[in-house]
Amino acid sequence: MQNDVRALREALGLSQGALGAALGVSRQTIQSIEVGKYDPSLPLAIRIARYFGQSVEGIFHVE
Amino acid sequence: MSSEHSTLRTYGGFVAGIAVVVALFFLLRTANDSVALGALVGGLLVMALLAVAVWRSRHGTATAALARSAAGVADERDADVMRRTLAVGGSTSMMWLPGALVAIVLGADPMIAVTIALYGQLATLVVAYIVTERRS
Repeated sequence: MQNDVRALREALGLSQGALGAALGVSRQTIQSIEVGKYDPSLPLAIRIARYFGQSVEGIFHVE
Repeated sequence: MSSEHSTLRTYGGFVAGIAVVVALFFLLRTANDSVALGALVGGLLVMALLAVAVWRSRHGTATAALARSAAGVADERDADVMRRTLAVGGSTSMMWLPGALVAIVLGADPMIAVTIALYGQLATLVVAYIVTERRS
C-alpha cells in the first residue's frame, strides 16, 4: 500500500523521529510506513490521518 | 500500561531471569560441570545483552524491535516483528526436535544431537528475526 506520509511529514518540516514521538511509535516504524514496507494498523492509520488533518483514504492508497 | 508498571515488569523479568540462570547452573552442576558452566556463562551473557538493550531503549537510542520489546516499549511494528519471528521459531522447532530424536534413535550421541537441535533452533530464530526486521 502506498501513502503520502513522507510528503506530509516533510511539508511540516518534521523528522521521522518527531512524527513517531507524536504518534507514539518508533522512528523505524515511521520509516517503514513511508517506504511501504509496513502497513499500519487501522488505529495507527487513523492517528496519522488525524495528525495531518486528512482522511485515512486521503493518505493511504491501495495500489 | 504506565511507564512505572513497564519498568517494574522489566526489573522483575531481570530478577526472574537471573534467578532461573543461577538455579539452572546449580541443577546442571549435579550432572555435568562443563554444561553447567556453559549455561551460566551463556545465560548471564544473554541477561547482560538484554540489559544493554533495555538501557538503550529507555534512552531512545535503540533501533531494533528486539531491544524495544525487551524494554517493554515496543510499538505495533515491533510486536509484529517479534510475533512473526516467534511464529517461525515455533514452527521450525517441530523440525529440530523430532530431527534430534530420530538422530538419537539411529545411534547419534544424545548430547550432540540435542546440542545441534538447540543451536539450530537459536540460529533459526536469529535469522528469522533479521529477515523479518529488514522486510517490515
